[in-house]
Amino acid sequence: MSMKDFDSLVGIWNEQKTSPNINYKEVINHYKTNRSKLSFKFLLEILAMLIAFSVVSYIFFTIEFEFWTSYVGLILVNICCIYFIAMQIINLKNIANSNTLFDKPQDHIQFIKEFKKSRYIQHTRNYKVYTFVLGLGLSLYFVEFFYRLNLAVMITVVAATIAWFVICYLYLMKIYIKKEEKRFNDMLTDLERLNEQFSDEV
Amino acid sequence: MSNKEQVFKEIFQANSKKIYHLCFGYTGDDDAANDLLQETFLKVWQNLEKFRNQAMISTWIYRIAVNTCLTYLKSEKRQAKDELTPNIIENKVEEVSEKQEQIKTLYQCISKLEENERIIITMVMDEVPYPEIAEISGISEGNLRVKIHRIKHKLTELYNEHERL
Repeated sequence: MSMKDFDSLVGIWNEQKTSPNINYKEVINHYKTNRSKLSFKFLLEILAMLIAFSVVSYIFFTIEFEFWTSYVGLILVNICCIYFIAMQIINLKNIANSNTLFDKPQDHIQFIKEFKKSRYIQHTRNYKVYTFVLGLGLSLYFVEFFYRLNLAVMITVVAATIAWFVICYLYLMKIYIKKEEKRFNDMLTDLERLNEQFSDEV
Repeated sequence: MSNKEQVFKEIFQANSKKIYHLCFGYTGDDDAANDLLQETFLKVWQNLEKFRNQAMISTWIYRIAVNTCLTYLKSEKRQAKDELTPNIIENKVEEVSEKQEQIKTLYQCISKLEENERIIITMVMDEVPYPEIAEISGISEGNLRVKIHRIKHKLTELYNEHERL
């Protein structure tokens, strides 16, 4: 078989009949029917949190508590709701951020790296602070109930709350973070390699 | 059909095949290439207004495709496959001709190149002008020419090696 030069390879390339299996209509339909599932998920979460925020605010303004701790507790819980909503909106904006659309590959890779890092911080450091403030808020809120509710009921409520926090913090979040961390590490290794490939050096 | 759809149709028809080649060359996988193509054109559709002000639409579409390829591979942890799917050849059931075998081999060789090399060489073979490739890849034209020279040599070597086997 004879040796081929690059022009022969271009000749072979031009003979190919490979073509996409999708057409422009499918792209438009896909967009219309699945208008960003992730954004929808974020919106649902924001909506749920807004309801929680409204309920907490309603309790704050309509129920007269005897202890100041109840008010402070509710404020802290609402701060957590606001933080959650703010973070989701920031994430949504980042997803929709089309300023990166025309980035050069190096800049795009850099943007993705930074975005992933910020997500990682959100899920680790910020989550710790979030859990602490929410836990503190609920603890303060429960102080008054110690004097009002039946002890057995109170113990059940507090135990259930603590159990839920422990499950979230020590189990669910650990699994989530571990999974994310692996993904980040893999991704960052690949992005570093790609970054090198796209450097403007010969 | 709305005006937006008409514009999109024209852009899609003028660019989809080349973008598909880029995605196929990059992933070596028909399904992944179609996914990437779809993702690229979803972004184009979403940002169609911005394209009206762009002089070289194809350059921007290529750039979106390149960025989509880079992150898609990372997020899905897909790797270029050595064994290519049968769709690389036309979907029609027919005897595998010598030409089709050659195309298959060519894609196999492309899959052995580095990621940026795959991207650059598919554009070269689809006759995208060098200044445009430089603009898309963010590499200066002078350096790009040297890179292309090397990639051409590498790909030709790989192909001839494969032929000798």
